[in-house]
Amino acid sequence: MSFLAPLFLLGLLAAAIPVAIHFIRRDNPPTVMFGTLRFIKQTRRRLLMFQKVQQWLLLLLRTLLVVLLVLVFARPLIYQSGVSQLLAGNPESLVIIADRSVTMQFSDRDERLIEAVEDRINRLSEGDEAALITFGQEARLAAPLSQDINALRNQAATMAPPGYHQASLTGALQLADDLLASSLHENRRIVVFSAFPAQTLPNENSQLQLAPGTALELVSLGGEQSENLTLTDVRVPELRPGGEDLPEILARVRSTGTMGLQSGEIELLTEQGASAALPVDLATQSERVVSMDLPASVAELLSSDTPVNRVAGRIELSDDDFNIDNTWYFAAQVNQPMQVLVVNGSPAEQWFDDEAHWFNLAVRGVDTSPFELLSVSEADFSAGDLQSQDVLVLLNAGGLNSAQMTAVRNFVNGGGALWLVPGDRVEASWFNTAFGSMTGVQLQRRTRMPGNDYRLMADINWRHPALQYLDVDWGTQFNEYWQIAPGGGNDVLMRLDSGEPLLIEATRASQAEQPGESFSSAPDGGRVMLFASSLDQGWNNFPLQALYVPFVHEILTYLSNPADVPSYHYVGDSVDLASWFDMSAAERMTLRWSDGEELVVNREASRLALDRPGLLSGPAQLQLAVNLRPGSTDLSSVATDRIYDRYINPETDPVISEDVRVASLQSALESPQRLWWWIALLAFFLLLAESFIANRTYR
Amino acid sequence: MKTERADRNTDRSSSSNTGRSTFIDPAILASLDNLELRARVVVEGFLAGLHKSPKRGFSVEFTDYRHYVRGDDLRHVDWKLYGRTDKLYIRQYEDETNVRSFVVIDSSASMACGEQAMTKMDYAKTLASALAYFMIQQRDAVGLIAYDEVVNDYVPAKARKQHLLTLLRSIHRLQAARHTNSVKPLQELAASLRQRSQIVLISDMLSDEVETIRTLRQLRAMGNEVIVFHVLDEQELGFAFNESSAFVDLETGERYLTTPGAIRDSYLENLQLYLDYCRSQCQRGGVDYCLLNTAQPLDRALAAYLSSRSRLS
Repeated sequence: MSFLAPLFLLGLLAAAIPVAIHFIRRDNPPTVMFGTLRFIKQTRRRLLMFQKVQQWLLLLLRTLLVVLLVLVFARPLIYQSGVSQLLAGNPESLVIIADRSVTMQFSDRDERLIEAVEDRINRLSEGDEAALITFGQEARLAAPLSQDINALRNQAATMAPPGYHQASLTGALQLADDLLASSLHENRRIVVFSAFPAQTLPNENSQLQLAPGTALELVSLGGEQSENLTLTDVRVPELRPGGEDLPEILARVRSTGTMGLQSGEIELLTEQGASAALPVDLATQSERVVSMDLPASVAELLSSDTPVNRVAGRIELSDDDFNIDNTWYFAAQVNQPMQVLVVNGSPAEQWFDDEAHWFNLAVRGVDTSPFELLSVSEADFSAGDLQSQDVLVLLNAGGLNSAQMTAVRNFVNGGGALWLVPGDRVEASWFNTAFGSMTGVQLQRRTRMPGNDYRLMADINWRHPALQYLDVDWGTQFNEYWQIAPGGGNDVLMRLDSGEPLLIEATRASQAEQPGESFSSAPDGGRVMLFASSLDQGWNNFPLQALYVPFVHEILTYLSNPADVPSYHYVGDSVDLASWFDMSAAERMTLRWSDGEELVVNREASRLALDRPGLLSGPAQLQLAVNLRPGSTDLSSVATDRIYDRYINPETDPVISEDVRVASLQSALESPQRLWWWIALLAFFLLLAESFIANRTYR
Repeated sequence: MKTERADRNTDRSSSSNTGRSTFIDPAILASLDNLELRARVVVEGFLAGLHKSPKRGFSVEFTDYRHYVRGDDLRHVDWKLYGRTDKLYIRQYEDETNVRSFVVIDSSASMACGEQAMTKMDYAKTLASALAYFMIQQRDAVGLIAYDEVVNDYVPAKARKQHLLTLLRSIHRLQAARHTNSVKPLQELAASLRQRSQIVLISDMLSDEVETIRTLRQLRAMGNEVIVFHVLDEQELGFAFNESSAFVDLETGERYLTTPGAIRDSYLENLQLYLDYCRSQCQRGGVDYCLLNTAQPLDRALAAYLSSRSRLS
């Protein structure tokens, strides 16, 4: 038993008071001179015995009462046998961080880590508290701060094996620091067991520094000699039906071991066949890019009549000391060309007078254009032209008849996209009537800048999917444009330096607000955009800008909204299968990894966390390639000094004062016991007993 | 038993109340140092109360003359006869009664028990003084015997008024000491008696009460009128002590530690048995018995005496 306020135990001396009174009174009782003792001495012996017992019982009760009251003030603790050590010694609050990243799969690192962790736990003293955190890409609390060392030992023994994630130490240190903020002891320590691969020390501008006074101990499990080749990057271009001009696959091979490999081999394998193994010469450099041709069987597959969505395969490196990163999976998407119909409102024989000249150049001007373009004049435009089209572009079309307008509305309501580019042939009133409710805005008037004056683009929404890749300086000068009445609800993607909208995307809310010909926006209707200037040189110099082609491509791609499934993912990515595949047919979908392991995905929980490399195949030609994140298998270790410098706080003053810590500790220890409550209760009952007996006992 | 004790207490209380209204409280009486004064206050207070009683005193009858001799009180000279005869004659009355009383006082150590102002000894002395005063007033011959282990003092019975001072001086000198032996003095008294007498024993009778009462009964059987004033202290009768105390026997010096509250019932039970024995044995032998509480006025004692005296005369 220990006491939180042992000084009160001096009060136990007060227990001598009733004893002293008892004996003093017994030794020096008042004397009564009496005539005779004969009647006194004739009293019954049992009565006298009982009287003596009562006297002794009263003495015992009174002494006990004093002792219990002293104990109440001394605040005893029973359960915490190590309280004195906690208060007088230097107990430790320890957080053990164990690396579970992919590099721990190398050699016998994992066995050494488990052994080292167990050894560290065994060195904990009574009163210490400890927690266990594992980390890969993310940190996970395996065991919270506790003085239950056995529970911690069990958690350490049953740790999940190393995964395939890269090592990211910052999150684990942050979590450890948070845990230690509420630690019992001032002596705080974090011990990290890791090989400290290069990615451990991130380049991000994290400002994390451990709390002042927190000791950091890095136990390195790396440092072995290793030869390792790894694929740090693979470029798999999109494939097109037809099979002509099959693109090459580029692979970046790097030697990441402590000892450089002079050479290696790389091989491309697809479900249709394998290409010849290629040598990789690393004699003069540690990294080399290798171009590989897809096997001819893939070309045959693409040119066949059988529709193919994807071509899956893997790239394999020759054996080395760490084979886990020698395979790179891919599932190249076979994209059908996006169908674009251009209605040219001002066609001309001469290219410089043709409204659609620059637009057509932008769409068709590259070798492997993802678009298939059909251009018609306004007069020839009919509903039949919209069959199987993805995007309708109206360039300076100012005189569509009612049938054509009906076709346009049906097209948009049916999911087709519309890009309006009004020019000089467009009347504002007609446009507002025809497209007001479709675009969600109203044209006001054409504005031509006086002389050589012009306006620039000043405000661009870079977060918009259509513009996110175009985050560079734009030097386009706009001499003429349509002024647009500000409308509520629509998204303005670009503004001129005068603040006037230039590129607008209609939203359901904005469409409903605007008057115009009846247009009821369908829930799955297509996207509608309005560009308030021209796409030729008539009103601006945009076609001459380098960004013109990517701008047109990105806008058309965004409008056509293809189901773009990346060729590969990385371990740690999270994907929503429902955004790519129709999962409404079945309650659950069974997927299968390339090594045969099955994975069941429910329709309600279609988001899938990818935690291992491989090729994941499912129904409806679903194929996902998952690879280790580049650099995650780099076996070279970072110098621990850099980690110390990075995270240790130079401020060493303890955060919590000693008094506060002791008070907190006392409170924490005492709160589950509250022994003094029970002692006080017992004292109360003793007091009652004393009063009862004292009333029956003659002094 | 408790009920009886309660009744007794009630009697004592009522008597005390009566005493307060008519007689001097012993505590006040104790403040009077002069024994004679004390006795006079007691007796005259008592006699004043008797005026309402049909038993009115005693008359003193003229009987004869005799010649004056030197030393006679001149107040008794019959001056009218002197005028006729020119000789001095003294008037003689029937004032020299044939009642002889002996007041026997126990002056043993146990009589020192009681409140410091009025111990049993004080009470006994006051009572003895009052009786002597009263008896002398009645022209009775009064003698005194004081004893403890032995007879300490003996004053022969005389009826003269001057004898009262002798008695009072003897009473005043009495000190409580030594053990008690009531039997021997009483036996000696019995042997010395030549005529019927009145024996008044004032004692606490705490030692050998059996023999004492037997001797008293013998005295009674000899034709004497015997009255016992059994004087006990208020504390002895009620044992109203509160805290544990060491009780010391005044005669033996024995020390006994006890808690009075615990043994009170048992004590009172034993005491009651003792008192019942004393009373019953006395009454059975024709001995007048009067239990006196030192906290009570002396009227009961005087009334008891009168009752005994009337029988004798």
